[in-house]
Amino acid sequence: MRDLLAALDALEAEAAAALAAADESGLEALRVRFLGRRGALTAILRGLGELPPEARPVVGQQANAVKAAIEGLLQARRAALRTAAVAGLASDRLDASLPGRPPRLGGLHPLTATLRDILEIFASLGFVVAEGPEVELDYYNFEALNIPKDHPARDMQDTFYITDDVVLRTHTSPVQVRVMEAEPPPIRVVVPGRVYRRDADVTHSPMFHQVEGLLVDEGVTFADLKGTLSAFVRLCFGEGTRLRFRPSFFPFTEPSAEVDISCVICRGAGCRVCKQGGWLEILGAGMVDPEVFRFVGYDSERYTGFAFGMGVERIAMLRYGVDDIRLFFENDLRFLEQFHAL
Amino acid sequence: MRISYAWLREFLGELPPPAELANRLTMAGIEVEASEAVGGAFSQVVVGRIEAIAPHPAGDRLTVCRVTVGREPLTIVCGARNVREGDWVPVALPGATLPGGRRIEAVSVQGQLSQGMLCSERELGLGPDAEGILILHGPLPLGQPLQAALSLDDHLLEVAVTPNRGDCLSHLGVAREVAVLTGRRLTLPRRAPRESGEAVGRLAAVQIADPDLCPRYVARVIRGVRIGPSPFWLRRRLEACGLRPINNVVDATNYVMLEVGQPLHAFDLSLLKERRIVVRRARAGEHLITLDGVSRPLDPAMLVIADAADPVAVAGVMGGAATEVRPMTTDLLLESATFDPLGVRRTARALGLSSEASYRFERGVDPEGPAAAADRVSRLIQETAGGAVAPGLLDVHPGRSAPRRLTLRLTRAAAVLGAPVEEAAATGILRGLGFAVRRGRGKALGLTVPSWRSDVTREIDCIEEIARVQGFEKIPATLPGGRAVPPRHLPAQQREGLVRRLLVAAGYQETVNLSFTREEAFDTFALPPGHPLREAVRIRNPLGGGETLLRTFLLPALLQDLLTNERRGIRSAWLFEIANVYHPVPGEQLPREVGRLAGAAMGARGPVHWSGEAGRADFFDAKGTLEVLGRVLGLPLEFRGGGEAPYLHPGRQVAVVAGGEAVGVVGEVHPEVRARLGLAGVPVAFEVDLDRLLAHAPPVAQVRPLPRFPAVSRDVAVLVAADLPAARVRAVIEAAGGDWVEAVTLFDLYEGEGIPAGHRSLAFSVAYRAPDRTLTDAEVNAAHAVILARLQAELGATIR
Repeated sequence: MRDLLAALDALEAEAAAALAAADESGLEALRVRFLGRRGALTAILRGLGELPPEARPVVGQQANAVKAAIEGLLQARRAALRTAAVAGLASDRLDASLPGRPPRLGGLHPLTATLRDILEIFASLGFVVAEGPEVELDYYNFEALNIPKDHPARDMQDTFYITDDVVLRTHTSPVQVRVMEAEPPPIRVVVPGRVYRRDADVTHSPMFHQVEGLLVDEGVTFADLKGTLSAFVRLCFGEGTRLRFRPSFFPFTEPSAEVDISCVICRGAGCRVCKQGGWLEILGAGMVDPEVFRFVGYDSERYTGFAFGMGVERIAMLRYGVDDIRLFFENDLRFLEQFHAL
Repeated sequence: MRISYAWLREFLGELPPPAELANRLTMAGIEVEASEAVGGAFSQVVVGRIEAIAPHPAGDRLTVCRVTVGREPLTIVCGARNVREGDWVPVALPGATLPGGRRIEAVSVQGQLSQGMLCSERELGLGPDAEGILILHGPLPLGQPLQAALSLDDHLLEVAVTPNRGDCLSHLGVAREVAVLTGRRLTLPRRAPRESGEAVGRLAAVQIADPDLCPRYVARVIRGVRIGPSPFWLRRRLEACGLRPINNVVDATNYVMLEVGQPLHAFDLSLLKERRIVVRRARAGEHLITLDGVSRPLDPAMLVIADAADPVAVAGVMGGAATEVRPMTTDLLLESATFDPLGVRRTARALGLSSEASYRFERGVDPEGPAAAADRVSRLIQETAGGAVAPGLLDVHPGRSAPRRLTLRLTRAAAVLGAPVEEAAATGILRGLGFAVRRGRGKALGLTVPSWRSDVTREIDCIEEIARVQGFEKIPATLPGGRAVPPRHLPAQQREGLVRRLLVAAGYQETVNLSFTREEAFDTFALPPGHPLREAVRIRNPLGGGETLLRTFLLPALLQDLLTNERRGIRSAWLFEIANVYHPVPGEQLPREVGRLAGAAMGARGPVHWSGEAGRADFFDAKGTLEVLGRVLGLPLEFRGGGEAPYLHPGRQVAVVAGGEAVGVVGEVHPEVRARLGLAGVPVAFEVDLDRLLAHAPPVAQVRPLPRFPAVSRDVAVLVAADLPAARVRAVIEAAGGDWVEAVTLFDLYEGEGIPAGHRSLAFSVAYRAPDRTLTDAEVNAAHAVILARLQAELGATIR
């Protein structure tokens, strides 16, 4: 019995020494070596059977105590190692000032982002999107919009011709006619798309983008036009934006208006962008001319409607402070990457 | 068009300040784009009169003038030869400042005291004439500042008149608007000339042969005029409005045109054969040398003014050189006519000739205006060029039309505008605009439209008049009620947004390029003659620069963008564009417009990073982008070898196939194309028909249940011929493995050391799974053995 008790003591001492020197990775091996199914403690206890029965509980108790002691040592060592490791983290530094590794990320074109924002605003006002061809019949681009051949109103838009009867559409308005031909009122559409005019300078590109709007139903009024565009302008340019409706002329609307907003740069005080006037022209609009209704077979006594159109580039230039329209189409990454549009 | 504020005041008296007036006009639809103060840039220059002229004792070219400016006479030395005793002249007093800062003092000129200076137009900055002293049109108050005496202080309003408002292309027209906007009365200038001598009917004759193009022709005759320069004030006004003074007769016709809007023309009566005017269509083969010296071929669609034999003017566009007023002209025939707007426009366009007259006729000239304008111009010529105005007018008026009558329902006006329209207000506005207004039945007004408002033909036009004069700001802002429109979105559009976002997330920057292209781009891109992409829509009147076609594919523009960036030092650029291309369709008027997506990636996969190179874009980046696109759209894309795009590397391109249909290409840009472009980088590119791609994509991806049993993985590495496509090996594995094979992933490709020449090693990981139980090792081993056997048998592969 004494031998066994001595062996247990020796085991505990050996374990204590081994554990004190062990690192994290060695702990499990030591547990197996001392306490495992085929470990040292088990080996010692195998001698238990040869002891007299009265001696067995004494040795058993001692064995349990040694086992508990070793387990305690194990746990203490594990904890000590963790603590040491955590303490050591503070000195395990990387240079966090190094630049991170960004994922490759592209961006939307600022015109796409602007167009999307415009369409979202009109979607919230109940307008759905319609589209039409860019290469368009003279009939839809002009005639059915009350712009006959040989009419001075044709001078308002310098036109690219494909044939006598086919043009590059000069505005998105022909889609108005196509939509009304295709379905009866109520109509509430917005039409985005590319349009073309034979003109090129700092503020004119031979190709640009427009968004057209059309709302036709019974009882639609000029006041509704004002309200709709006021809502749009405030959502697009901010709550404080003032707007004014100025009488103008478009062959396909009557009455017609141009819509100016208070200058987004100087807030109306007068600056280079608004040419000191304090106002920026951004929209053309009006009540659909009865002549257009006649072309599409709508009863102009029963139905009234309004239409409006705006240039996407114009709005993007104002939003982002771009002063040369050609930048949008040069696709210089140093320009495009400034927008971070997603 | 430039409008003189001072001129308006002649019609209307005192007016609101120019800025306020400009704003009122703008807010009524007569847009004033700019307003500029003009006036003499000098001080202390006053009206004087020459009392006596004596030669300078010391110089043969100089004279000494005694000039009164209302006080004691001044002695002024003068070098000009054109002054006479009694002339009214501008006198710069000692202390005066002239344009450019020149100071005038009393000085001695060759021993003779000169107490100031007599000024020429040029010295005052009022015109180009430096030859002589500016002779004023007296009498004028002596000593009056010249600015006031000549009404030099003025504001010029740059007015943008919309094409429907031809009536506003004159000072009278704008004054009418001002009158109704400010409640002022309009006073017209005195018109009637003093007539004398033989009646006009004995001196000339007018005949209209084609009344459809000329509803009215009025002529007056003046005999014995003296051609010379116009008085200063008249020249000054013409110049202020942008017209060049010519002589007193031509200037008077232009002046009256600017004043009342009626284009006028003066013929030298003695040069009109038989002193006859015949208004007729041109005859085939006729020519006319117009005032600008150009010989114009005429055709029978054009209306001309002819004498008894030949055309002498293109009606409403420009006069002829042969009958123009010249220095020796004494007798005039003045034309004041109305021509058909469309006829004038067609003729002007056919001749490529636009004039102040044609601009006005195209936009509509008051048909009731010619007689009054003829009177007015006759009187003005009489005042500035003398002569006897023959009694009477020749007024041929076959196209007389009754005044237009319209009915305006006030209820309709309110319904269109969304605001009540008061009868009294409406009546007041319309009467102010020159309408005759009668109470009609119910809430309706009977209207007679003034002759000058050819644009007002319908009730809605009258409603607009009321709204714009009242001011749009008086109309409230409401949101439309009415029926809701059934909501819808175009799935294609939504998907397009998805595609855009995916490409952005994949590292591509969106671009927008113009839709134009040029023939040479097809050569650069090695398209052989007859290639379908060469079939392009051609613009008949392109801008300069050679971009005469609409593009048929997008990649040329994207590669151009890469080049633009590369030349600016940006060598790494991954770009995409979504846009339409245009394909002519035989027998159809309109081309087919197809939405396409193209991408081009060149250079580093990521920004420069300290941890190492991210590598450069290669074929597999481009292909991988499309693979992910297919996955996102729920549309498995196939890639078939042997792509045929001539602008891509022949060995490094594949066709993109969706739903069994070829929808595009992906590959490395052909080195020859790069060389022709001058592109140093090596771009990889793809272009697909987005419309077709989206048509094949299912609207919503269907979810698969999650597997309930574990997968078992086995690897297989095979040694195969290097030119055997990896996809074939993979296909054999998938086919041989049967239903249990869930995924086959290529995880290693190796050639080189340890591999026989002409061979390569491909290593695949095969995942086996059954939906209803855990597969046993034995089952998986058996299945895997079949794969190995088939690879050996079918592909001659060596299992490693």
